[in-house]
Amino acid sequence: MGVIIEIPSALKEYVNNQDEVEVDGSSVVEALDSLCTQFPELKPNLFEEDGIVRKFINIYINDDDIRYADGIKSMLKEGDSIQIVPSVAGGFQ
Amino acid sequence: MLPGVVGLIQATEVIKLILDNGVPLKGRLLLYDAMKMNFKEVSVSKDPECALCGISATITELIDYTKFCDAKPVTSAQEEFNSESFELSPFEFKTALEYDPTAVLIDVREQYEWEICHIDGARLIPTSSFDPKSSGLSKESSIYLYCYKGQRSIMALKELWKAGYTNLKNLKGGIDLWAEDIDPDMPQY
Amino acid sequence: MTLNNEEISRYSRHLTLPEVGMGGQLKLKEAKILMVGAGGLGSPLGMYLGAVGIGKLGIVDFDVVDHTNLHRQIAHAASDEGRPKVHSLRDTILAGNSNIEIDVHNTRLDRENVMELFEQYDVIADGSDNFETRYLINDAAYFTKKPLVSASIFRFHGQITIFDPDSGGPCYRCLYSEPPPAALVPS
Repeated sequence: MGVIIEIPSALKEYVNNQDEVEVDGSSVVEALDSLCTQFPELKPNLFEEDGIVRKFINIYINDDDIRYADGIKSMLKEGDSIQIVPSVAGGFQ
Repeated sequence: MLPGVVGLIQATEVIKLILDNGVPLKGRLLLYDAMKMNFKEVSVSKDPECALCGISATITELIDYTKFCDAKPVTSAQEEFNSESFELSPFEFKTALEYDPTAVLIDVREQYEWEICHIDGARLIPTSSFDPKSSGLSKESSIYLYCYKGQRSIMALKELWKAGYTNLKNLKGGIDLWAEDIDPDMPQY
Repeated sequence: MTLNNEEISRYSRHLTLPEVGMGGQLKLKEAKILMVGAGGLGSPLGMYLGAVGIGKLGIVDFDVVDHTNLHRQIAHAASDEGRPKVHSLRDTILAGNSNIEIDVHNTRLDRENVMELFEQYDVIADGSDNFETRYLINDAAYFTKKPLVSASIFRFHGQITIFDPDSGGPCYRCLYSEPPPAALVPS
């Protein structure tokens, strides 16, 4: 099943500067695995070594935080989009 | 770029809080993308395990924020890598470059930064596409790296170090300090 | 508290809005807002809060106006280069509306000064530019029970929300429990 993953500007450089990437997956973890297989440099930016999502990154299915669903095991439906939202600090640029 | 829009939304929310009117932006995170020119909203929930406001909070007074925000390694492969041991001041860097016949100068900033200014004789390999294996750099050369302030170049240097390169130098303070100390005609950004 | 005739005239388009009215305008006049950061976010934020008639504005920043700020930090003019940002922003705000009181704090917000400062205000607005300050502000706002209107920018991307754990909402740590490692923060 195809889902769109939206990439924030802070991580775009790891995915050939794309705003969004379409991948296959029936759960968040499958979709993100598929993304990180295509773009291996992204992986350490999204996950800790033990596979948990880094604490300064939130992942949403549509507009709901997966932490309050089933985490990365949350299932996806046709037409869902995944949004990756990292913490940013600037009044900067 | 264009922080104005975001500052104005912030002002609007402050005013609504004071007036106690309308629907405040609580429990919702508004995301603004100037390039796509869209606004999205995601929900923000109270985390019952929050270290500050959760049920069993561990933070009960102000903490050491420098320490809290201090660098944690991207990977755990930190084996005794001491970034300072590779650093040269702009003056030392310039002198070493001139006298080192095996010197190769690498700029690891992005293309748009390179177009603002760069050091003569440098080759551009942006960190976004930096890979020791495909860099074509010889382990026999002395590799001199720089970026804007010296942070990204130390990350690239570390990649090379992990890949077995030994003769590595990093420009302390980056091209920004170089412009101040060595080349006053160079634009700073 | 009342409005004088100049204020009634100045805020007349507010006074005729049912959502504001005289009652709302007086609330604005009684309000005390502390802004952290007088840069890209703080410029428009301060200028608007001043123009609408917030009674007391506090501005905290330790930086001076630099040439590279001018293209986006719109409260600062070329003639302000080298001046503390808090002074430049204060003067810009007062030039538009001299009815309001502005307290400038030309200092870095830290553990020693943050609590006493926050106690003097009703709402905190965070337009700072680093994670250390953001976590400091969040924690101090929680301990002093002040709502925190938080905005941040990265390149073309902005994030805005209100943290108000005292009224049952989340705090910044609920959203992001830890900052990124320094190596992942673009320099």
